[in-house]
Amino acid sequence: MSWILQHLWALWCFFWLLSLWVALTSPFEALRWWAGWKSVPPQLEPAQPVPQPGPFAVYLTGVAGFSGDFLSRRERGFLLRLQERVPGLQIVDDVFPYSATNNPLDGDRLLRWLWVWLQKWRLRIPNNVFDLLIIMHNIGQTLVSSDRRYGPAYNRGVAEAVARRLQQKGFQNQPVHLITYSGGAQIAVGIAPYLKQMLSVPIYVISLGGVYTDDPGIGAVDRVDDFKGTRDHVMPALGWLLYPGRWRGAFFSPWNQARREGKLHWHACGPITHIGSTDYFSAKRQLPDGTFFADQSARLVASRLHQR
Amino acid sequence: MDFWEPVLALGLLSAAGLSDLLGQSAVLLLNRVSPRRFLLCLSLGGLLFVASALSWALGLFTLAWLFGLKLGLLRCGYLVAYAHIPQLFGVLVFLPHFGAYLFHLLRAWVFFDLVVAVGWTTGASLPVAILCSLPGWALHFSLTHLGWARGPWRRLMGRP
Repeated sequence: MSWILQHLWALWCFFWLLSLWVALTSPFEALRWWAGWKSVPPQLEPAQPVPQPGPFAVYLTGVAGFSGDFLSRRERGFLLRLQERVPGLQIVDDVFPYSATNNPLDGDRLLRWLWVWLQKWRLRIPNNVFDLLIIMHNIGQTLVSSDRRYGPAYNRGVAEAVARRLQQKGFQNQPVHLITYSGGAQIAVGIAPYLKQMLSVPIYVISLGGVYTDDPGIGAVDRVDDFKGTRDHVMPALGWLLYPGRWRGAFFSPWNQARREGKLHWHACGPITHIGSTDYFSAKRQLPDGTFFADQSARLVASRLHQR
Repeated sequence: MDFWEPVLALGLLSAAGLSDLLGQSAVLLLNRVSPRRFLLCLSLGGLLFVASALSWALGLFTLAWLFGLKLGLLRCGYLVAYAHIPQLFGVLVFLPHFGAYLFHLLRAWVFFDLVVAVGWTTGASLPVAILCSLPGWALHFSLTHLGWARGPWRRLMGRP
């Protein structure tokens, strides 16, 4: 028994050391790209994108994301429900928001083998302990995005990837809706000034359980709609807890300025939790009126898209 | 110990300086310096850090003499060097978000380390210990703050 405990302790320490390493090296990717120390593979451009009437939306996943190509079935289901409700909706859902170069975790990376191995186990046994390392990596990138030192480089990289994908979809200067879940909300706010600069269109952020920091990018967002479950307490509160600019006392912070300008709107959306079987994308749990949580999330987001 | 103490003090200062500069090295990457210039900046920055810390020791010695405290120049050098022990964690300033707070925390910690050391070694009162330590500390960390760098040092680091 003591042998097991001893090794569990060692494993625990190893996990935290690895997490510290992941956190400490998290700004490197964006900085190396910005400094020109890292070559980015050339992006394929379509021959001639067909112009689309829109509306145009970009989906930025939460901190459990793995790559632009991989979205959980629940999130895919939510996006399909959304497309059914909004005719002509063009969704960009293949940008990996936790990389400044849109480089997925199974892309050109030093620890590629580790991420691939973790993802394999994650798909076999959902919500296992190894999930945490992928989440730690993505939380690290969210912190990079919100950091005043690294944020400008990181957010510009993600904004470039988003703008490129929008143009490949036939974007023609329509307003852009950034639909986000969890930590994706910070990335959306972070990239907003650069996206606005590149596309010169209004930017709207619609979030499900959004985790917001005090990023100055909020100034470039035209409106924020955050839908929050009444049982989703911890994650959205983290942004408030860790970023003093979100506190009411920080009168002149960009966040409070945006609040005073009436840009920020919060909406309760039923007994929904942040993760698990009762989250925003659940197609099993229902509201008292029989609506599935995923349907309700899609309906609420669609209502915002219809308003513009 | 007579031989090893200066070696230990200089080694400690160099390690603290390197760690501090690595923590602040994001500035260099944001300025898009080449890998070679990055290494050059870190090496020169390390030397500047040691020189600036030694000037802090000189300032401490001068002020201690003005206040009539019994503190030799060599002892001042050792006190300043040992006060830098928390700065060994300076590399953690690189951490996103938390690093920005840690940067200020470590600088304050180094300052209070020296204040306590001066007070304890000489029996000086707290205000006198603060007055002796403050000017050198302010100069030292202004010189080694990459974000505030000026003149040729700034030219070497590049511009954003």
